[in-house]
Amino acid sequence: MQIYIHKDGRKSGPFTLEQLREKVLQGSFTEEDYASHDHRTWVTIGEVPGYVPGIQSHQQHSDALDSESKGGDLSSVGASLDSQRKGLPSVPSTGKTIRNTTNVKKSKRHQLLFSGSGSEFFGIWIVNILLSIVTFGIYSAWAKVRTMNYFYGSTSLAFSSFAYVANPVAILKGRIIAFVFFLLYMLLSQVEPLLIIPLMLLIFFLAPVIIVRSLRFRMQNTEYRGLRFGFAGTTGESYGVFVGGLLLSYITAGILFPWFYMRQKQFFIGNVQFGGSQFLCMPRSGHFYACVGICFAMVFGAVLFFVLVAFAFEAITSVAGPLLTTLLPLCIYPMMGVVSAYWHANTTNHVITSSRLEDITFESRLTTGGLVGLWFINILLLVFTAGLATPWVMVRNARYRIGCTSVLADDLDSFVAEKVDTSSALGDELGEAFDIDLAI
Amino acid sequence: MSEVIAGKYLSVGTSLAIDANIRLDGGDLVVTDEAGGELSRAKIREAEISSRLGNVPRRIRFSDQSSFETEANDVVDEWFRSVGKSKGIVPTLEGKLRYVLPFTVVTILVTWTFVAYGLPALAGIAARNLPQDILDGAAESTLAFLDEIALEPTGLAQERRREIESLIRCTFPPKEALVYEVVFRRGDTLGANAFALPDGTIVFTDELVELLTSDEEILAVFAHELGHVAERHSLRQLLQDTSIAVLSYLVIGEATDTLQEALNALPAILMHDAYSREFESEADDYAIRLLREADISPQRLADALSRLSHEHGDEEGLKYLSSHPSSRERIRKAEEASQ
Repeated sequence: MQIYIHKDGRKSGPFTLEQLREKVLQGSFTEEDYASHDHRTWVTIGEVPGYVPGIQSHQQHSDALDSESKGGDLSSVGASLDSQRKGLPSVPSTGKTIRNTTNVKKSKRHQLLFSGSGSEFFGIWIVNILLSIVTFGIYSAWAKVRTMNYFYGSTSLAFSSFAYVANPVAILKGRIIAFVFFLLYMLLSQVEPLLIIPLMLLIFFLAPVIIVRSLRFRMQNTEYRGLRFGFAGTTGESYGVFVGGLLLSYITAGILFPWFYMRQKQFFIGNVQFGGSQFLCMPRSGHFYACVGICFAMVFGAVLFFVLVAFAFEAITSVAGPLLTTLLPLCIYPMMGVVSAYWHANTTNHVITSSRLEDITFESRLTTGGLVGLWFINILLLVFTAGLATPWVMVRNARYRIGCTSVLADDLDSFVAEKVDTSSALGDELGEAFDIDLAI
Repeated sequence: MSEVIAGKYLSVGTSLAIDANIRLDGGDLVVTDEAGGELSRAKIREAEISSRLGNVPRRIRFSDQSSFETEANDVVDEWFRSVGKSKGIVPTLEGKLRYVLPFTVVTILVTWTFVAYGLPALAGIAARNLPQDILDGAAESTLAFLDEIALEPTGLAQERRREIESLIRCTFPPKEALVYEVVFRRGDTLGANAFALPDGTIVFTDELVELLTSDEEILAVFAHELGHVAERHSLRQLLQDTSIAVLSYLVIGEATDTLQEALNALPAILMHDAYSREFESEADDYAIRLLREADISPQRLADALSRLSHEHGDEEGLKYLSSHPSSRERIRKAEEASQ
């Protein structure tokens, strides 16, 4: 029997049951890491049929094993899991389930899992591109929905996957508007360069509206367990964050920029709704300032190191010029990569861990080294395949990010849908016109 | 009696996911819980199924908006096919190597053909149909910008400038569709150079006029620059560069995360030089035609080009020359035309 392990976004294996047990005893894995025999159905190591917990095991899973650890055949993993899910009402009491907030049960750690594969997605990707070409771009809206659905559908939390349910026609409308606008901008910038300034101002003042509309569109079309997400951010708040925040950080010569960055993230996540519940995002701006400080220290340290090396080299060989002029520029890009990986990993982890949804909390374990490795291989893949490796790169990104995220929750079942508000139908029409992806 | 498959029953209005089984019973889809109790029953004809995407779990949505999520893709496809709802052509194409491989080859060929031939042809059509004065504003600001950063006022004697201008006007009289204006500047760092702006302004540097020994060579260089104006190369270059940038964003944009965004610009940078080389050789062809009509040997163009390439050196990092096809090749073409 072959068992694969999924830990922090990386897959390893295959292992036998005995090897697995040793690894857990050695501390390489914990019983809460995920195991699969087919890369598709994932259970925690503690839940693997036939797995005998070691002495060090400390989790509550061991009790669940007693009843069904005879099989040893991992293909029965799904079945063994099902019988584990106790305490669920057997009949759906539609809309009536009330959240029990006084529940004192310890939260269970659910690893977000990504089960997509590059080769599988390649087929979808290449068909998307060819059909988009032969339909002069019209199919690209359908392609977008299929791509989103592949990534959403391959992402699962507690054995349920996500779904993207947007109407491609709405996306097509948005793309046509964006395309026309882009063409106008390009032509105008050449024909009448002076008109660029008012146009940029127009974009600057429209951006907060577009951001809110597109986030709302994205979230309202995201579904988990049949329940829609939503976005509660208002246009006013968006203006405060993006226009106000940006102006403030300019006025203060960038001193408020880390705060501005934090407010953006807070706006993106803190306004997400799941059913009738809303996320709470409370990052500390001190953390962002600390990160900025370390980034500056890294850049300063690296430059200092180079200058010292160059001086030392000059002292020995009396030719320092070539070293500084050729080596330094070559190192700038990788250095920027390391610094931005550090920034990205630390701020993202902080934002995610300081978010919660009711009594659900989140964990994020991105690392600087992990991101540097991911980006480095991605760049090589893209350059050496002239872009044909795009599907693998997209899957690698998703697998790493999703694999580094877990959800701590004891109850994912009791979220209730909010009444659908139909009064803003006109506003949504405009929102649907702009389908813009924002990295959160 | 058909197969029973396992999955999750997703109730309406809550995030409750119930472990359940589904089976096809006559024309009905029946969802039962673990104990066998019936959770839902609906006609398969009225149920909707999400499109197949590899092995991503599928959702069967019932008319009451509740749904069933399952990984048993093949069984579900079979059920829906039996009532005439096939999974459609797209998922079939995506999932089979025998379609994906030819699709890949065709996509590469189509993309290459489009980039090498289709796009230049389309940009040419667009350029011919766009208003003649569309880039006039850009031309003015470009010259003002160059005057600011690189060029100096001309030091050529006025008689010499008049002489050259009248020579050009006599040899190549301006036509209604093709107005031009000759302008002189000291090239300074740009050295011996000539360039055309999209509104028909053709700039000669003093250094170029001094470098070229015969007036016929000046006429040859002028004819080449006029070619750029007549064929509307600035506008075509703009349209082509922009299209490549959009295209590369569409193809690899989704994969480029954070720092890799710089890669999106790479195809446009690479193609920019390739396109401008084509424009140079088009302008050469135009010049050769014009020179012949005026009874001047195209050899003069070859002479001017070799003088220029000698002046700048082939390895010179000057943008003007580096974007030109290899000078030797261009000189050879002009020489062949003169025989």
